[in-house]
Amino acid sequence: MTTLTINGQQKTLDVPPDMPLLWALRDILGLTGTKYGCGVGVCGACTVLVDNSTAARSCLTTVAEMEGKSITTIEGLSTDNSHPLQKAWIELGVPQCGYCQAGQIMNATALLIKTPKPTDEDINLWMKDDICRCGTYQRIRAAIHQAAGQ
Amino acid sequence: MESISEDHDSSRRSFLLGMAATGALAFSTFSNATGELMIPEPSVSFEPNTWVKIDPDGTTTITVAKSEMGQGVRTSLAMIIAEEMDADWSKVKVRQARPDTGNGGLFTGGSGSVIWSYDMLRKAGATVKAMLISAAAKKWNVAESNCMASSGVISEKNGSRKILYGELTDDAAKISVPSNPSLKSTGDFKLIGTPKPHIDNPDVVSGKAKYGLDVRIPGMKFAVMVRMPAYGASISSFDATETLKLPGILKAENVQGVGLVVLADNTYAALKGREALKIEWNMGSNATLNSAKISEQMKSGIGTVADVPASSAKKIEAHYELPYLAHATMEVMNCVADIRQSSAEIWCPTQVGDDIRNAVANVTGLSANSITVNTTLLGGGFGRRLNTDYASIAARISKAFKVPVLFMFSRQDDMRGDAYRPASYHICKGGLDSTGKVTGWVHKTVNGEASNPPYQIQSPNSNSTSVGLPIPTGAWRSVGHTSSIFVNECFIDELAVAAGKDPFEFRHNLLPNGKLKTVLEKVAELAEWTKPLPKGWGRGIACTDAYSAIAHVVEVSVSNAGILKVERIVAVVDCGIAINPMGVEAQIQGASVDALSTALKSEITIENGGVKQSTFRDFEWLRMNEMPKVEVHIIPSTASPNGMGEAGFPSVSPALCNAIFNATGIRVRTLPIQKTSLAAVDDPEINNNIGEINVFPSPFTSFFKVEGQLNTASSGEVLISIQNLLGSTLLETSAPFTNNGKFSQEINFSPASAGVYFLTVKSGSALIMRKIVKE
Ligand code: FES
Ligand code: FES
Repeated sequence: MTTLTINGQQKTLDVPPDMPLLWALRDILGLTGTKYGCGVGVCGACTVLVDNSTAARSCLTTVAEMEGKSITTIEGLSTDNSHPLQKAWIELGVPQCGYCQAGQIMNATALLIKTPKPTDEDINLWMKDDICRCGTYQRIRAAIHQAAGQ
Repeated sequence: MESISEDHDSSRRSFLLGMAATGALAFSTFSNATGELMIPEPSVSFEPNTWVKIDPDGTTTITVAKSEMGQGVRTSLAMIIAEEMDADWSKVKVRQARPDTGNGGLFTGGSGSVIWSYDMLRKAGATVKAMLISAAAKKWNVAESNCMASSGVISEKNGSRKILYGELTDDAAKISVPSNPSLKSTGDFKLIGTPKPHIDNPDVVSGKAKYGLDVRIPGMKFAVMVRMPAYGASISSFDATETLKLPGILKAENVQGVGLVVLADNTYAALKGREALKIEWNMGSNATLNSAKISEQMKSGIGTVADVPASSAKKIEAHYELPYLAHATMEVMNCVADIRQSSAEIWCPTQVGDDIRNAVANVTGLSANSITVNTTLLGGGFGRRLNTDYASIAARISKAFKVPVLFMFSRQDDMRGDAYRPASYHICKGGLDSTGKVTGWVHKTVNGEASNPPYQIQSPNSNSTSVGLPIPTGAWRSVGHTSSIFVNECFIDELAVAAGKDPFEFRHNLLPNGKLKTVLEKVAELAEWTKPLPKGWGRGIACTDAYSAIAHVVEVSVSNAGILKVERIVAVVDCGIAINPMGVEAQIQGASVDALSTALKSEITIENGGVKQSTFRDFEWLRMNEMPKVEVHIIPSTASPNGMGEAGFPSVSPALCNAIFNATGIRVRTLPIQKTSLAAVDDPEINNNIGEINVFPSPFTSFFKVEGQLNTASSGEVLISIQNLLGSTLLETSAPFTNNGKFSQEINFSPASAGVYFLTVKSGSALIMRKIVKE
């Protein structure tokens, strides 16, 4: 049994402790906004926010490691798309197929927590391991700047 | 789906438009982007893929029959209808059609959705508007000519009365359907031609959007299959004892027509259960096949290649080779199947809803009309989802185990179980007379495509042959043009250089007047083609009219060490009227990423009879820090629209290779480019005063050892890193100094793909960089 907080709600998970958070979110809790892209930590599609401070790849993070932690998934970023990143993403038309975008937004959330006014270089370095197969990078960069009020 | 919201409320009278080609009543169900089923009231069918429903509250629901895979079709097709009916765009919703409503026409490919639908959807929208105007005219007892529509409102021209579309649903339903409603002139368009973010974006950024993998139905289990390690391999025996002991495992057994399948309560259990299987393989007859042999077979299989006229003053010959490419859609192949006794329901991210229904009918023995297929959002398509393999497998598993299943490929399954863009080999020959005029053009390919270039060249000779290989191939964004246009646009550049002409001028002189010539001129102007560049920089140009007339200029810089930076890409397109310019721009930017990724770094190779790559680590994709600025210019037009899903791809890679030549004098004729060293000097940053390093073996396959000595530093540690062709750091490690600045470290670089990389050794201000080659 693992107890953790997900999007502000306490949850108790009765799953094998080595189950990656990704599958607990998607298959046990029905939170399918967090995506499976590679399962081995090289694409970023599964990114969530831990303790409102750091980005974690949920495919490489076990449920047991998250005991007592607070997780924010894309579903918990806001209830009404009012987070500045969500607003910028919609306005600038970032998504193409959209599949990678939950991971992109969650990692960008962590970036803005750490660096509220990122430069292009900050964005490049922080976001470089999040793959977008559709190639939306140019708009992601612009949307992060817009959300940061730049 | 988890919730089925029935959009069916008899107190809410909806004005359902069905507009009558057949006059038949039809019940249609749909799903929206979040996957909820919507069951509208009975409608009279009008066009196979067009419905408009206006609710009393003004909500206008437009049905789209084409699959959304990122190309923005749910937005652009809805815009066409909304334009002609003067709908209030803020009230428009989109729902997805299904094949089992008998309407067909769900095929989404060949960049054809907008082209095929444009006239039909305009008419559908215009019909709605005409009926609303008739209804308002009747209600007010005025002439129709005295009523006008705008943004969801009908107003009286010589009066002050206004009425919302939603308030007219009852009356409009009583109006007979006009057969020839008048269409707007393009000059009156208010919505078409304005930039609109995709209509599904709010669902995407909130995590509500439902892709195939997100479908959850009651009682659903999770299934994965065991894939063969080589083409033609088979299982000689297996032992599932350990698998069956694991929590969450339901079955591990053979399913007819599929092979060994693991069924579990969740994805993790299924994947872990698969790992725990003990399998003895019979590797089959392809077990020694590899990429080098495939390359040899293609080269020897090309046969005779015609010659250019003997009288040509100058003859040029060049050979090109392209690798297999995976589609690597961000969402892996998957399908949910619920096969019951006499009916079935399928949820599938697919480009071919109709084919999926037939495929499921085939493998289950059910009749097609007892099978419902719901098309979900697609996490990328690029042609991969024109196949139906994943749905057939899901259906067979659901039928065998008598449960609803979500069947998925893991990323590795997906990369190794694809239908690839074919590897190909090409020989080109060209002739020039003494004035630099082209006297002959020959392009022959094995397993690729060779089409005639758009240039006015006498008797171009393009032909293709093939050698049989066990690697499955399929349509990949822009299909045969991926090889044909790459080769043609590189070779015309080679001819231009051989003729001593400017590559832009040379093309320009050979093009007839028309769209292609116009976009070529415009791209040269916007990219400042003639403006001098610093040393080590270069520009390349390429153009094609394969889908829409498009031309690209790519600007690069290459350092002495051979590190490449794509500085800028300028694209000019004439795609007819751009329904949604924001979507056109996105497609061109996205296709640039596709083209740069595949031109620079990614390839699928064959080893021991199977695909070697397994994930985005060894099938490398372009990353944020490698993304150049892509400037897109759309030529204003009122002509019928062309598709934009594929147009942005073919001319980028040749423009890139031509730019590299312009910068370095190196002609890259084998992709990916990272297999070719672009270095002006071999070991750029070796300075004997700083120290020396040795790398062995060289080249290496997986592991290598780096040893050396730094003269300036002797304590602490040395930082070792590996950069790719674009200068991105892929690996970082450190090694302690032993004595006198000596160090030694073994490095595992096995996951990366083959190519030229850079090893950097650094301590304090001392830095040594050296080129290394991975095979
Ligand atoms: S799914 Fe976790 S990084 Fe790719
Ligand atoms: S939007 Fe499709 S993968 Fe990023």
